[in-house]
Amino acid sequence: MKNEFMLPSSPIRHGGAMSSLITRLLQRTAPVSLTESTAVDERADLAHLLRRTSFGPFPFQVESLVANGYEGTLAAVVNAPTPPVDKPDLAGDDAHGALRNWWMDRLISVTAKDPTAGLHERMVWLWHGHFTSGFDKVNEVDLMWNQHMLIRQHALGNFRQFVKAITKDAAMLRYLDGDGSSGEAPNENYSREVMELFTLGQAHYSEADVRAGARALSGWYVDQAGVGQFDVSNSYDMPVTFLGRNDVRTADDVVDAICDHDACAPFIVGKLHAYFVGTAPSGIRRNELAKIFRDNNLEIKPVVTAILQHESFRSSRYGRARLPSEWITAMSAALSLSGEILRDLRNVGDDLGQVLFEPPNVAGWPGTTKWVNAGNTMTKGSRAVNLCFREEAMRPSTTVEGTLAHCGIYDASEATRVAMTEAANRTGDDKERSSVLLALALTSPEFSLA
Amino acid sequence: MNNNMNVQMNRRNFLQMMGALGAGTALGSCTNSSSQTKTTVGAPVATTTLRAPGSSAPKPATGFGNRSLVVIEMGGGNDGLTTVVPHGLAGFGALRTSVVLKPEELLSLDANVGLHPNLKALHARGIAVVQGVGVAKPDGSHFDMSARWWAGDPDGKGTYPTGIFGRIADVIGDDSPAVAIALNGVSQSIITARATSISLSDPNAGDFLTNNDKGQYDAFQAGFNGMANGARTDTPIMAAARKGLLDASHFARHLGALPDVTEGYPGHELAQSLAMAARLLSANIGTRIIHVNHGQNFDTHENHLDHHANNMTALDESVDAFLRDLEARGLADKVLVMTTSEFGRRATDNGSTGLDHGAASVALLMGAVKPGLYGQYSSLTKLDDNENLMATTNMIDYYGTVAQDWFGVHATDVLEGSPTVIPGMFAAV
Repeated sequence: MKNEFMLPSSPIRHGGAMSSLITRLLQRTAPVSLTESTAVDERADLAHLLRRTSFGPFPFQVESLVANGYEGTLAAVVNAPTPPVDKPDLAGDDAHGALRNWWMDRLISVTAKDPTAGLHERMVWLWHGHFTSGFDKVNEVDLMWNQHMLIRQHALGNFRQFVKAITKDAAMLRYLDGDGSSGEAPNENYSREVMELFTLGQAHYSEADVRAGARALSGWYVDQAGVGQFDVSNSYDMPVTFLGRNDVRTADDVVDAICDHDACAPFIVGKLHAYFVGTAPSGIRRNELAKIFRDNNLEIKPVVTAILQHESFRSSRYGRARLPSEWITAMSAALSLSGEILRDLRNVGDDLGQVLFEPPNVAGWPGTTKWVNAGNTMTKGSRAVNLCFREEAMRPSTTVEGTLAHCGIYDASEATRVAMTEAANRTGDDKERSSVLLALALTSPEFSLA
Repeated sequence: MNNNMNVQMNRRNFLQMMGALGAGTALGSCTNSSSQTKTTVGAPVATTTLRAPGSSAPKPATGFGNRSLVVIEMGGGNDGLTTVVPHGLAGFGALRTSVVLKPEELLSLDANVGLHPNLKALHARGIAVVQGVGVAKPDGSHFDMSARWWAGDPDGKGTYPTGIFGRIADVIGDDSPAVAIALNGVSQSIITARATSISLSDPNAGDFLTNNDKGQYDAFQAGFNGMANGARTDTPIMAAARKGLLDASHFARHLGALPDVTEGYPGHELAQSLAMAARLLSANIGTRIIHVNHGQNFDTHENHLDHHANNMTALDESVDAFLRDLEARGLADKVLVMTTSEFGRRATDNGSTGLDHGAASVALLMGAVKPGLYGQYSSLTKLDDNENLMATTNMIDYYGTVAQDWFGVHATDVLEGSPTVIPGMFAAV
């Protein structure tokens, strides 16, 4: 994989007429020696690491980390302290808007401050789309904020404690109808989704388990202060048989039965692997990671570390579509946006189908190729080009290589480089040339992937 | 479960879908074959396995070429028993205690069955109802059942890399830049193997690709089109990204020349989608299938009657405005509107004013359809083991009827198993 993106001028891969054409097209860029080529490869690896473990890379960040090397930077990423959080002002009319804007700004500021300190934020982002709750249904900003802080607390912590806490979380009780569910008429929504989507996957429970779980989970409600509470008089007063255990009585019992189930560790490590590597793990790799997860008492951080340290992670460059939130943060940095223009770009997630604190449904956002389909390509391209062609827009470089590096791309495909070079040759002056090159880098297939 | 169900996929099918999208046009073998068995309308056909690689591509029957379809997905699971109410059928009174509509409120379809009172305009126009639509072995999962409905895969075997409407588009489509279009959310139901399908959020989003200004736009567009050309070394996901550029470039040219929007649509999300659908269908760009998400949540675990009534109002007002628009554009007899939903809701109420996930439900057809009740209502006295209504009309019968009698596409060219076409729903060509 790493070698698929060698430089066009590399003598190893190119010969004949095509090679000379490319060489002619790329004559403006300096010839690349073998040592420089190795450095480029390291930069490409570093850029990949930051794309997956922060919301960058932002301009110049990769260059600043070259001295630490890939291994040194990865060590910094997994050992980074958690950046502190200041609660935003959420008192205005558009509380949802305030909350999502605050978080999008934080994704940018955390990445800008230290690109190696983004792993915790990435985990918060993952769990936000895993233990989903939507603003529209929860309908109280304090509940959403409290859930967000709960996710921050457990993001790299213990999975069992995390599920126990989220099960009793007020926003979750409201989102999945646990609020007020009684032993007499238990609501099945949370019982089903906690197993299907949050912990086990679909094949590992029966409809009888859904019903039994709903009984054991009944009695919870959201009190006046917006806190999840248990009312024993409204709960089911008998033990139920759930996932093969016949003494399940409480919400914690339900979570314990789930977390002790054979399917739980493989399901969660698969999700973590897909998030960081971009693809599902092989059966063998899934089992390895599940063992690490169980051996560490379902602590999340050791599994994440193992995933990032594995060769499969390093070699997965451009292996998945870049998510809208990732695209927005990288765009804002490449264009050095601020003020009203940045605020406007922040909301492009609405058109792309990714609104923070409002997942499309309880399964969160899909990691699919839909993010690079024609419709989203038009939506993103329209924004990118309009921003690049403003009179006051930044114009970082007049070369193909320099522009791509500014956008965090050190290993662009030949097809992309050739097209950019041809386009540059059609431009009138340096100003136009750098605008067009930046617009192309930001609409390139490489920039749409992570 | 909240909001639209539209853009989700079952993780079981995730890699398969990734492969399908990534490989783009290289997937011809998934659809290129003719069925081994011919059949007459109305009779079940022998079970066939779709698509022997290398056999000739299926073609639609002649005379159907000017027909198109709008699919309205009611994501979350639409309750049949409050959409088309079987108030006179045995067992109805014993099913639900509180989540029930009064017979005197209903719009009559026959002596035993009445339509939701908020579907007034559609009732007046004439609506077709397929009763008891579902699958033989339902599941309670939104994600599994949605994936089955998108794929046209009633038993969830996961054998299709394409969507049901994508496969129909592959048979009926030409080289149009968008044979199938999804508005208001991507749909896996329009994933094709051969024809081009596209999802669209903003009708003006393609302007940067059609701007005629010389200078930087000209240079940019040359570069953009260059980057859209794939290379042999592309990974599947890189190929998918390049195809996104290519399709965007083609489609943008047509978007720039769409007919005007018609005034007078109501404000519902669905109505806005349908207003755009009418423009696309009258633009003559080869678009034959448009998928729209209703845009409101049908997953009514709580306060069903209010939420569902709002959803029915939006459906009634939006489709009524759409059909009026089509009449003005001279397309009224060329466009069929059909609904889908991943499942119905529990036959009994859940004690908290809501309805949990169920199984069989009803499907609605509007526009160029012969009004009336089709199929059998699900039994109200014999429920399945989970207290759900059982299907009398399989999903593939419903899809197969539209494929075969509306589009002239042999049902077994796009569906596995033995689809039974419901006779007499549409005018002959």
